[in-house]
Amino acid sequence: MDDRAKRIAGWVALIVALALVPLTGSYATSLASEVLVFAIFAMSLDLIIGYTGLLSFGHAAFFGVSAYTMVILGVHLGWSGWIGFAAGIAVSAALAAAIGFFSIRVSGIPFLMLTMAFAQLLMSVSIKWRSVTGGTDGLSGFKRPTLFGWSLDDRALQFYVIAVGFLLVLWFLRRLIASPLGSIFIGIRENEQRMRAAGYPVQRFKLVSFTIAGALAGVGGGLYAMLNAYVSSDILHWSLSGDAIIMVILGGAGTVIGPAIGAAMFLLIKNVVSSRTDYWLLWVGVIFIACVMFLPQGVWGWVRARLKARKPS
Amino acid sequence: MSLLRIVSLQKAFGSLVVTKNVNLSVAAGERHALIGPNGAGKTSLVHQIAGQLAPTSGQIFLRDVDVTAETPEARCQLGIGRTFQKNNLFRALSMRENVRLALQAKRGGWFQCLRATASDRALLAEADEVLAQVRLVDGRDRPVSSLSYGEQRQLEIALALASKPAVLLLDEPTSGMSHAETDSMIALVASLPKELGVLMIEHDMNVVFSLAHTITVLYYGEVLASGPPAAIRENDAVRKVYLGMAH
Repeated sequence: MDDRAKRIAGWVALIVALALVPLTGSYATSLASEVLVFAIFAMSLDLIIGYTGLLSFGHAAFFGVSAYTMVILGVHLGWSGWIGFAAGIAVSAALAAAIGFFSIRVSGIPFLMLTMAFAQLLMSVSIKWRSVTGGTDGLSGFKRPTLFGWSLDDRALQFYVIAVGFLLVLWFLRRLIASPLGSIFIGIRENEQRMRAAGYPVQRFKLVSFTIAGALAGVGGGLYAMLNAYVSSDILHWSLSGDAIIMVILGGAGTVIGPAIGAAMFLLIKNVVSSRTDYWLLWVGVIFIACVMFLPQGVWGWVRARLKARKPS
Repeated sequence: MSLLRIVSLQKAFGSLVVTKNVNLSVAAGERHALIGPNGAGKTSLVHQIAGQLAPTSGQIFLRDVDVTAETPEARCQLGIGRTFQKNNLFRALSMRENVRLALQAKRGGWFQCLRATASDRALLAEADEVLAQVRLVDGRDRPVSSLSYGEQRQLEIALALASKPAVLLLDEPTSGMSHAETDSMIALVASLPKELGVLMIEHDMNVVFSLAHTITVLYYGEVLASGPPAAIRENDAVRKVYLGMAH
């Protein structure tokens, strides 16, 4: 098979697999929906971490703000979830542009701290601004939108909408990474000084990367709101940003699909282990440490390296 | 008319003056060598010309346009290309992708995000031409990290040439090279486009005297002497501090 045939076969297999998920029952379908939502979130973060080389620790901000925007518009103003979804993505993108504008002025640990501080700031807002956000109780009462007359309250339909979102984000990221714009991000990751010496306004492109990643996290956040019909300040907490970093590293930073695999691993461990013991995070930690020690490129990075080594070039 | 002109350039780190009232110019087609003992401030000077380091005072003109306040990326776009003393490449990327990226910087189309770079055959062909220009012909899909040191030095020059500079700054192109590699580097520099102005830091006197039209000697940040090779060879002060000492 040539590369093109392989690629098409891969997409077809993925689509078929996703199409069959609702047959597995409602618990598994909900879990799969959650996995795909967080897969989008982790893949979007990887654009910053794995492809542009900036360690952001505040990515939950964009995920959370999009979900809040959608739920707030729905609950307080009665706006359709679809309009709220679009608005949420737009707000996330704008917010990423604003936070990025300040954060990219520094790099390394200061960048990490700044992005985290901005996200925490938003979390404080979500807690204090009770009349709008519901404070620590969160905001419930969101009515899921309908699609061609069918309500998204249906688990299977929810899943399909989320799966379409996931496939679109996956498709877009793959295209982006192979494109001129993506090559600039990778160049910045590889050697920022050389990129500048070659004539690229590096700061501008860091901001572009950060903003695209924010918008894509917004897609994830919106789908999260569709899934749960509820939002609370937990999704702005720094620990969610940390979870996303773990997903990226587990699956493989600098690969498009890797973080999605990482998200699946993380959530499966969480669901399977937490039903047996309260110390599920301990097991996440153990697996994470083992992964960093023995598979530093992540699970998918490791698989990909094996595939490459086998292919004579 | 000189292409590159440096006027009263001064750079100090506290009380340490690394560039002291340096005046220098490079004309189109000129091969200008910058020599001097270790710590003479050669690389600092190149950093200031290319923008990696801001001078304390003085000015840098490219075609009579003052570029002193410009960023490195802007200077590159205006026509100042450079190589680095220590290989400074995109290590995980292939040889061809390194050059393609540098070519793309000059060509634009930066925001295309759905078209594959692999489908841009014209740009890839151009990358191959640049690689051929620096005599890198084989294994262009290999990652930089798998190239020999000498090949990486050649790629350094390819990256600088890909930004189509008017002035090319070469920071020790032959550093760390074997005799054979040095000879081929001399041939490579000699084969560069005639209209290019070249300012080259070099320690190897063989390289300097076989290529340079003009030699400037730096000593503790100051220009000790500047002129054609024959005059520099005869200059007593230069012989005393530099030529006689190391060679």
